[in-house]
Amino acid sequence: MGKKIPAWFIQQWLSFFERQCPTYTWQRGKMDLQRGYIRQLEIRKGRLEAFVLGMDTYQVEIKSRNLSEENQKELEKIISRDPALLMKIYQRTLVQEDVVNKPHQLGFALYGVEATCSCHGRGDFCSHIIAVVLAAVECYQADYSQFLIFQGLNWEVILSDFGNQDEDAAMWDSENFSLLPIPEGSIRSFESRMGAAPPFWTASFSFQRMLEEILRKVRDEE
Amino acid sequence: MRTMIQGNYISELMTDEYGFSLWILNDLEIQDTWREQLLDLDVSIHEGEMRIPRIKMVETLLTILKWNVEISEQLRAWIRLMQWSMRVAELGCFYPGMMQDGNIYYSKWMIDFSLTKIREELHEWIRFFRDEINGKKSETMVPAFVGDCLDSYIRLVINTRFSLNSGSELAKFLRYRPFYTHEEWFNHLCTEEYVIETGKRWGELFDQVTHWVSSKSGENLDIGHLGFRLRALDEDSWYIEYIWQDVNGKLKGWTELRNTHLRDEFMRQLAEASVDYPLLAERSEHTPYFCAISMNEAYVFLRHLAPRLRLKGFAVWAPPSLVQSKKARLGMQVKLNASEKTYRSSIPLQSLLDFDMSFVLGQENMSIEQLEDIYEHNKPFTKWNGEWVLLDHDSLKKAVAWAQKQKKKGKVTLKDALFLQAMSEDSDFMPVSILSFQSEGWVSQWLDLVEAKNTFEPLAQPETFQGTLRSYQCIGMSWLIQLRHWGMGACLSDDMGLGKTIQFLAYLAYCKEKGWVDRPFLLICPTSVLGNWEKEIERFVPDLKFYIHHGPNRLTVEEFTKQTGHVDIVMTTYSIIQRDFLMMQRVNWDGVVLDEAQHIKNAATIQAKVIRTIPCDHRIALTGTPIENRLEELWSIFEFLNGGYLGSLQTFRREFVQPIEKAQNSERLSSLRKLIRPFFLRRSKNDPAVVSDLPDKIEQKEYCYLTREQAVLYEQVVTELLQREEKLQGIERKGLILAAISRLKQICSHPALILPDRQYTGHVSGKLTRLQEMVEEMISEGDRILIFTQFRKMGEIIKKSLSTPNLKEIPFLHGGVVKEHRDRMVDQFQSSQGSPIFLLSLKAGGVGLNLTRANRVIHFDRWWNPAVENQATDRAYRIGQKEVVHVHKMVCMGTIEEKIDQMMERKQQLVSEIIHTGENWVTELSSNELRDLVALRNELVE
Repeated sequence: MGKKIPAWFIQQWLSFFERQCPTYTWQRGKMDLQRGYIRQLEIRKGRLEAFVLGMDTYQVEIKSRNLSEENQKELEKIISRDPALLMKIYQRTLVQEDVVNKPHQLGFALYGVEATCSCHGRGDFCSHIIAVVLAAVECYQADYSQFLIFQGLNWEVILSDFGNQDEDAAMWDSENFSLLPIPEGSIRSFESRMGAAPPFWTASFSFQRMLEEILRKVRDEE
Repeated sequence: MRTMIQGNYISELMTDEYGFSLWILNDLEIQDTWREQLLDLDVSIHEGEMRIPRIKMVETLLTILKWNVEISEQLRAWIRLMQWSMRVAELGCFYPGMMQDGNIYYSKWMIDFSLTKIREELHEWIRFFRDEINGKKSETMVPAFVGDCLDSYIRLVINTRFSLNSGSELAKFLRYRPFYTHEEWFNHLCTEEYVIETGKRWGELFDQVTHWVSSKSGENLDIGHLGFRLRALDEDSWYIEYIWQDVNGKLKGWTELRNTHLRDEFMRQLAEASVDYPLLAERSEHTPYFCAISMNEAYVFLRHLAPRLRLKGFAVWAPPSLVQSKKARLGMQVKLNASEKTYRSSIPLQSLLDFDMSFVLGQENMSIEQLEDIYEHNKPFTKWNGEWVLLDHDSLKKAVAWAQKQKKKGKVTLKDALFLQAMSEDSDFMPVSILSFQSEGWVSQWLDLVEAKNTFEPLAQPETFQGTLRSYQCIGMSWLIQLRHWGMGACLSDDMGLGKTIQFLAYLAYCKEKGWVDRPFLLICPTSVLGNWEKEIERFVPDLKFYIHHGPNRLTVEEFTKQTGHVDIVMTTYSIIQRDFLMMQRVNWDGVVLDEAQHIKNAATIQAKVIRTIPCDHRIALTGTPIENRLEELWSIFEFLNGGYLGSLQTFRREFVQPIEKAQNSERLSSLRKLIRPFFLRRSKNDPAVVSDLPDKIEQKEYCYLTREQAVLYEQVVTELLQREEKLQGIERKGLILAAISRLKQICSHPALILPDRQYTGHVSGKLTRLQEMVEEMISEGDRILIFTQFRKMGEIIKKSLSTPNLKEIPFLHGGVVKEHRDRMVDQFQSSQGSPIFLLSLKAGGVGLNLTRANRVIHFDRWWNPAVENQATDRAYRIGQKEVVHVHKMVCMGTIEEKIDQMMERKQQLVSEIIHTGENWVTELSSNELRDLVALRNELVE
């Protein structure tokens, strides 16, 4: 199965950092990520923080320098009033064409960041910063709003304002409704999803077979 | 007073060893045996309180269920929840996981909540335990209890159903000493105690396990779920509303969600649902409140998308009328009206009835015109009396077409009405289900019969009937008479031994008494039972005049026609009818009765065809096995009884045989049962109403014919005996007589007993043929049979003749069987595993055995001492017997067997005194007496 192509703003994010650091720093950052050295990655309004394990535990902080507070408020307003746009962000189906003509590309454009690491390494970006940059990609890919939060947008404000323009649409009464039953056969055809061995299972015993044996005994099939 | 136990879940904290507490509500002490069981399960018992270790919860609660105690309502609820947890485990909804409490780590089996049904049922349980449990919310305690039970149950399974010595992967793993942390983790999951772990490496494993399982369990359990509600304001305004359902099941709109985290989850789930239903995103103007759709889109949503969303865990609500099953929505009410004038007794099924119908949609009535209007409207839903209803256009189309056709006709025949009634719930057959039948006039009685509401009063038995009918037999006779009045054929299909013959004879006697009969009845039966009929008539209705049209000396056409004017009943056989059918067709019979009517099961045979053409007013079929192999056999019998009722054979095959035999359509089978019910009466010997009417033991004679070959041999022996006995005296005469009588008895059983070297083919013994017929019918009724014979050689012949590939080997217990083998035979028969037939020689099997599994006893040949026969019968008729025992004694007509039998019947006491020593008394008879005893009455030869 082919790997999903990252969204355009994620590609921009990666190329922004990649072109500003040596290849070996980039590779070391990648290895740190693969080794699972990133801890407590957190994206908050306008910034991204994480710890990276190594000889010591290093603290990394990346701040966004892209949007002014006024810009941020303007964008929050636009998004909270555009249900289609918000749906696309949640659906992760937003494409560059959707935002290219919008102010500041709705916050998806990347102009500048300020990154610091407690290792005080040489150059703009050390391998720890790169490791955190790469780790952030997973967060953005899973949830586009995380990028906008990094850019300084207040997602709570967006969600709090969302729908306020259309409050009359809320229909509530005590009319009687019934819950649709779950289709027949869905339970019978259920197959336990626990079968595949976890990635950390390195024992020579088959994890899958042991669980199958337990399930058969639970069902008393033998 | 029984001990009453109460119980409650007391702690969900893993740090507490004991999770559940039990105590006795009344002042009774806990029994010592129970105490021991609890101590074995590590239960802590202190001052009346019993605390169950968390890890032994399932095992302990299962143990308590086995005690003879009363269980409090609360404890019963916890036990039901435990049983639900076990079912969840059986579904495979679990995975190996970990729990953390501070810096302590536990390995634990966890529930996989990815199945929506499991989540929804858990919420129901949370709502059920809505009160606080031990000071904590049910939202906390119920899932914790379920988790503890699941973990406890899987550990119980691992420790009781696996053997460490087996070759399973788990056994190999458990024999091995764990090395890595994750191996220790899995090992801890299999132990009968929680192993507490701390430290960095366990913290890292906890992170890894948590990450691994996060995609497997229902992560949103503690937050709530998005749901969709389909509603319509009017025909063109349909909406899918978005509603949040919190963990308590409470419904909230977007504006009520003040928490950003919940709003974020709301949108996330809406986006997830839009993957299945893109319209939710495409038409987002009113997000996050609703999505406006058309009626057709609402239909697509309800029928195709909503089920998918339900499977994914979303709740979907709709107006109740749209959630109900579609078949219940459109129904029909039928009115039938019959006046006396319309009944055509010559062709009753073609009698015409006034017919009217109306429809019911939801709960309300609807005219045909309104139905047509909705159909032409061609919309998926319609609002009918304030309710939205989903219309199935295919069935609507069929219903409208059918209704229009019926409306044009205005009247239906009785046959159509019975079909409608019988098929009213058959969804494949009827375009729309019939919800009610209203009927007036004579047709009501017919419809009652279809619905098994027998409203007729049993008639008194006829005075000319010598004997007493049992009440179910009286019902049978009355039923035959009722169908006679209606001009309809009847199939009496009672189990063998319940007296079909005498019910018919009582019916005939009743009709004769009432003066309804001025022409003879024709009885057609197998040759083997002709003698039985003769005997039964003589015994029960001696006034009835009969003529047996059988044998080479039967009457010619002219004589026959003349004779039929003087008798009440003519008896003939299936084989003769085939030859003499022209003669039979010339007589206008009052009725035709077929005994063992399965003989016409093959509708295409000449026999079946000619029997159907014999003219008469009333047709009756008597058979214990109306269907031996195929459903088509029923059609053949019904075609004789009520020609055309089940349609042509081709139609019957298409509408009944194929759906029932090939597609196993139980609805169609039920319809067929209803359809034939008015003309079909079947009582089983196990029916409570019949059983209460029967004595514990029923004895009956089975009269058989000699074959020609048997008769010739019999005559030879008799002639030789009578010629020689006059010339002998004393011991020589006695010896001669005894030897001859023994040979006569053997000939009655089978010629091979005296001429063993000859080759025999076909039916050479009338008695054996009758036995085969009887046994076949008994086996089809599920009976278990003992067959006694005094000749070992005969036993071998019977064994061979009754053996079929479908039957297990028939055991034959005789003097030559060693004790060990004999005990095994008895055990197998009693355990119902072996053959349903058990053959025994009278001497070896007549005493000392307990064979209460048998409900039929057949004496193939007679022992002239009733005590010996009774002893043999008592193998089955004794303590432990739960059913009525039917005893059949086989007698060859016209032979010494019948003579002796008559003597035993007439002078039971005297005979028993005379013959108790065996057969010696015969040797004392004079020559004339001897001649009378042994002479063969030739007319009773087949």
